[in-house]
Amino acid sequence: MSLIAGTFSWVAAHWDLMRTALIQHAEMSIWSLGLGLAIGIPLAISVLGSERLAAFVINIINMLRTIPSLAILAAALPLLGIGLVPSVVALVVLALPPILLNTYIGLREVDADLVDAAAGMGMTRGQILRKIQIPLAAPAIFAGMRTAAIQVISGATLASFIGGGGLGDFITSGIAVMDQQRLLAGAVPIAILAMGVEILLGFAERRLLRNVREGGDTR
Amino acid sequence: MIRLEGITKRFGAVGKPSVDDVTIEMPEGTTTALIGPSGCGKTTTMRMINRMVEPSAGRIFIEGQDVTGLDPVTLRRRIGYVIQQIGLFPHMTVAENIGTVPHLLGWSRAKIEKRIDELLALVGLEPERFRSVMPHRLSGGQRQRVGVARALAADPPVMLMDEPFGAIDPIARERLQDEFKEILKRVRKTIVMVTHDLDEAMKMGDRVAIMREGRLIQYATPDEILAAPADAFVEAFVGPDRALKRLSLRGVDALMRPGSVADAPTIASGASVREALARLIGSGARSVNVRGADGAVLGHVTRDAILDGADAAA
Ligand SMILES: Nc1ncnc2c1ncn2[C@@H]1O[C@H](COP(=O)(O)OP(=O)(O)OP(=O)(O)O)[C@@H](O)[C@H]1O
Ligand SMILES: [Mg+2]
Repeated sequence: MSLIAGTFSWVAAHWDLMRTALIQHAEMSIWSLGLGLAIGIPLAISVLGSERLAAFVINIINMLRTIPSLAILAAALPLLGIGLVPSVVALVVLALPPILLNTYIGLREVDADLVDAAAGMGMTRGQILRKIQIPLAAPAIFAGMRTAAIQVISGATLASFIGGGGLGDFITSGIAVMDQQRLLAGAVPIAILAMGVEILLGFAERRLLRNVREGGDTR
Repeated sequence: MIRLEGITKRFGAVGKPSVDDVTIEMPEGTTTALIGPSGCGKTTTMRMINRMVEPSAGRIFIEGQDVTGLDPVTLRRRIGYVIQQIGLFPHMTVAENIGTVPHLLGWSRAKIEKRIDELLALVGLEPERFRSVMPHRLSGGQRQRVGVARALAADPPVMLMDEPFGAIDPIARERLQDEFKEILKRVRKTIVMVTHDLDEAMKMGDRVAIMREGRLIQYATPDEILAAPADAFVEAFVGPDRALKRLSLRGVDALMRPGSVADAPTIASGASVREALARLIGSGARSVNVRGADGAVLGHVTRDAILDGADAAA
């Protein structure tokens, strides 16, 4: 029996396991990306006023980025134990840099004259942010989100090491018992998931941001 | 009316102020052109009026009200603002751009739509064609028209314009200046217009304020400034041909005598004395006929009348 056919029959035989792992993987990724956005975007906005503060925060985030994901997971283990929570924490660390950096740069690169015009017309800080800066930075924010999504989906594979579950479980156990079919049953869906999300987000971006680019009613 | 009282602005803690003790009273419904060398504080002076810059000292009154005590956001919604770079929001249509301030003020949708069409027509853009166009599809001149329409949207009593023609090529600029002059005359606002082009200041300003190194040197009508520069700086600034410049401020009709002269060149009624003089020099004739809009000759102007008039005024 070929490897591919074998993998398919393995997946068919272990469908329940497979489904649970897929759901865990997706759950972990969605939580991490959601939290990454919920922290990263407001953080980028709040450091917008001060270049020194921004440099400080960005440096910290960049430092976090240099730590290997596996090391973060290992560090989370004694602090947060095993399971979903420490995995999500480690993945948020992974998701934050692209979201924060892209949002910050996107917002900062909005033409200063536009912000000046908006302020001069009597928009409040919040209105300038909502009506001018965020819509114009949306493509950059979206790009950051896409990068973060892919990193989180790939990174979630490692959650298996600290009992976070997900499709990575098949890879780790596949390697442990030298079972190639089991290994592929984990690896291939992760690859498909990552590519699928990339394509989906790309599509969503074109749909959603057509307004920003072509200037429909964004208010 | 806008009144600045001893307005001073220091950006740093030390050093010379960027705007130094400027006092000026701009009558209601007039256009004041703020002019002077680069860095003399024109933009800073203008931006203190809508509190985009906070004065270090002095007070500013708009229609008798001290603006230093007002909420800047509320104040700015009552003041039209046009910047050199125009600053149209690229992700909004022409209509949405124009509707910005009315929207902020919470006008009803129907009222905003009506106002947008009114303003587009006022600045010479067909509403049906331009309402839903994105700014990047407009020419420089069209953008500037939209910029002015946007500043006029909530019918503010005061308009601030920082080099409104700066981004426009010289040929289109003159036409736009003429049109804007008409529009601004019609809407009767108190306008502060920053420029560094003397001809533009003389043409657009009912009064011209000449600044130098943060100080107001002279505030007077264009004719007064050309006739009697306050000091050597103003005199040098307006240039050695100020007598000629004065001729361009005057209409030819004032010097006109009845009757038409045979074989004389013609000039349109409303043209400047300078244009008439140019025609006379160019053609070698001694008189020029003045023609009305209907083509009929209204009278004529002689070379002597022009030169005597220039003498009398000097
Ligand atoms: N935000 C600021 N911070 C520090 N200095 C400033 C600031 N804005 C203006 N200045 C300084 O104040 C002075 C006056 O500037 P301003 O922009 O008012 O000049 P301007 O007459 O409009 O010149 P230009 O014709 O070049 O536009 C300049 O020396 C400028 O460097
Ligand atoms: Mg300036």
